[in-house]
Formats: sequence, structure tokens, C-alpha cells
Amino acid sequence: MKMNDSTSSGFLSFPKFPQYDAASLAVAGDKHFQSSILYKVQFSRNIYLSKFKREMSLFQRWAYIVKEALDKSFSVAKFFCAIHVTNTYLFSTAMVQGPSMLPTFNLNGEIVLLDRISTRYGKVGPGDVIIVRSPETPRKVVTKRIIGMEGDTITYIVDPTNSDTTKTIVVPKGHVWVEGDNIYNTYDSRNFGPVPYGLLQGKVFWKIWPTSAFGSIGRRPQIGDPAFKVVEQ
Amino acid sequence: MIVINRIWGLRAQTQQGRNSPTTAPGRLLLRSPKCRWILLDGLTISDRVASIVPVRGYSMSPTFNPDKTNYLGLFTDDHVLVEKRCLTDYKFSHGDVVVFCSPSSYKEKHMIKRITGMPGDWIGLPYSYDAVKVPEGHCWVEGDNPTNSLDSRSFGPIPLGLIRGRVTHILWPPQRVGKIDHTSFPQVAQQMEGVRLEKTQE
Repeated sequence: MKMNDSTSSGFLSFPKFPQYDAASLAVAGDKHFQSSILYKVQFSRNIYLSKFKREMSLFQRWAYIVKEALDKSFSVAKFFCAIHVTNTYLFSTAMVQGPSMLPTFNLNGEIVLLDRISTRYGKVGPGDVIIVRSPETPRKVVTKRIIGMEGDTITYIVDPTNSDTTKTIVVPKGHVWVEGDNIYNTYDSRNFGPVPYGLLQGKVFWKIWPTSAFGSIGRRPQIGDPAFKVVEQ
Repeated sequence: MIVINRIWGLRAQTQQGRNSPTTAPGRLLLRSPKCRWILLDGLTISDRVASIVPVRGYSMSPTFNPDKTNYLGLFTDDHVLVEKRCLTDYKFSHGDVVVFCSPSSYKEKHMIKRITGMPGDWIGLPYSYDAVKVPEGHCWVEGDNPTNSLDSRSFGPIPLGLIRGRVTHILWPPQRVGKIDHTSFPQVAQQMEGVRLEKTQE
């Protein structure tokens, strides 16, 4: 516990030491006494222990301890509040795993930075990689790429492994069409339909781990990405 | 950690004392440290624990905003307490009154309706003999005032992920302060009773 000097003002201040304690004796200059272990013990006891015990009443002591503890716990709570607000309103990190975004993210998992501002204010468009709360299992979040916004006409292959049959739909109001980059192994809007915009959690904009992949994720899709065909149209 | 400290001016404040100007960029967001902490704590509590939401419109009419003749909307509208602890596991039941983000526009974040169907239920549509099955992870929401309500009968089942909290108490006006649960609306209570009877018969 940190003790302030006795001169400070305020509700928990206490008067100066009496003149007869070990510190004042030492100033008088008894070198043998200063180097003895007895002096050290007495000095520390007088300064740090008995000052606390002798000069304060029991209530004051408890008040001091409680105040210290409250201050400490409040500062910890404030720090967690700051973490929470930063994570929900500004940006946060996320772990991306699985085969569904294969050319963009590898199988073993990558740590990415999420931008929470652009989804909150509707600043995302086709080609952005986003994190979206799964419509079928609300406790999970999935990473997908936006293919079309509301009102867009989307043509998609129903089952790319088996056939070439395509389907065309118009994305309803307030919804987005999301797909994984690896169309052969992904569970996306082709299975559960367009996703309401309110489920979007954030936009992925930077890879930070592994270090070999460190860098930004551009908005423009690369050739071979399924998002590319929308740009061509 | 350092980044968060720098953003909100945390470290600068502890090093230089409470009243000295901070050099952190957090200073730009809010000049006074006290204001900043009130903002951060308030946002955290309203996201994690509970918040207060005003009820607009008459779609939940017998439960909220029962009388239609008011012009001072801000003072006479109902204000309700919305708890957010249920968002950790997304467990809801029939008859819960929930706040959710509208599926047709993300800007409308506080729609208040009652859950009348959970995943796997069959819902009969009005004015037709069709029935819709509520898909996995979705729920069917309806207002208590069926004549004046924009709900699942027009936009279909909504994903549970859109739900932002569950209404537990009415806080304003003072004469109707009280708890809200699935028995607070008699019609729903009857339906619930019916569901329970069917289950026991099975």
C-alpha cells in the first residue's frame, strides 16, 4: 500500500511524526546506530507501520483500505469498459478458420482485424469480406464475402459440384447476398438465402497473423473469386 | 492494450493526473475524462446488462401504449427496461417480448414484438389456409395488436441473431410500472395454455 507524505491535505491526512522517533534520532548522527539492524527495523516500523496504526483511528484505517481497494477495482473496470467499447464500436480482432474462404484465408486459421464502423453506417459493398452472425445458429459467426446488396440481381450456381444449373434472384430490401470464396465447400446464401443487414458484425480489413500473410484485404476481388463475376456484369 | 490506452487517454490520465491536458487522441473524442468514463461505462452497461428503450407506435397496444390519444409522445410513451444477458446464449421462449433490429432496414434498431413461434413450429397465415414452418435459428414475432402491426406476417420469420434484448419491465409511465412476461397479455397466455395442453396430451 502506498502512503503519501504526511503534509498532504484531505480527508485521510494525518499529522506529522512526533519528534522522538527513530528518523529524527538518525538525523542527529549516530552512525553506529544507523548501520545497526535495530535502527533499520525501528525506522521501517516507525515510518511505515506505526504511522498507519498510531495516527489513524480504526475507522480511518478501514476507510483508507476500502478506498484503495475501490480505486483499484474501478480502474480495472474502466479498462474492461474501454476494451468492450473499442471492440463493439471501433475495431476488434477475430479468428478465421475453415475451408469456405480458401483462396483468401488459409485452412489453419488466421487472425484478422475487424472494422465495426463501416457496417454500422452502411458503408459496405459487393466484394467486401465481412463477418456475419449465422442466421441458423445465432451463437456462431461466419466469414463470407458480399456478392450483392439490396436490389441487385444475383445469378448463382445451385450445386457447383454436380451440375451447372443456375438460378437468378433479386436480393430483397435490407438484405445482402453473401458467399464463400471456395464455392465447392461453403455454407452460404445459396443454402440459407439472403441475410438481413442487421446480422453483419464487421468488415475484415487487415490480416495480422500469420506474419507471412500480414497486409490489407482489398475491396476489389481477384480474378477467380466469385465476386468478380458481379463486377463484370 | 497500449492501443486501447492511447485511444481513450487512459495511460496519459493516470500518469499526469486528473486535470492535466492529455496528449492522447482520446482527447479529441471527449475533452473531460469524467464525461469519457460516463460514456464508456454507460455504453458497456447498455450493451451487456440492460438498457432503457422507448416504445413507439401502437403495434403492442394492450401491453404498451394502450391509449391512442396522446400528442406529447416523448413523455407519455412507454419506456421499457431491456435486459441483454439473454444474448449470451440466445435462449428465448414463447411469449417473450423482444427488441430486434428490423430485417428490412438496418437503421430501424428498436422494434418491439412478441415471440409467438420458435424453430420447428407451424404457423398459420391469416387470410389463407397455408401454414409456414419456422426454420432453424429463426423465430416468428407478432404484435399484440394484430390490426396495426408490421411483423412476421409481412416479413416472415426473423433470425434469432437480430434480437437485441428481452423486455422485462415497464419503467414509465409511473402508474403502469411493472413486470412483463408471457402472462401479461391474456390472449397469449391462453395460447400458451393451449400449447402446454397439446404437449401434455402428446
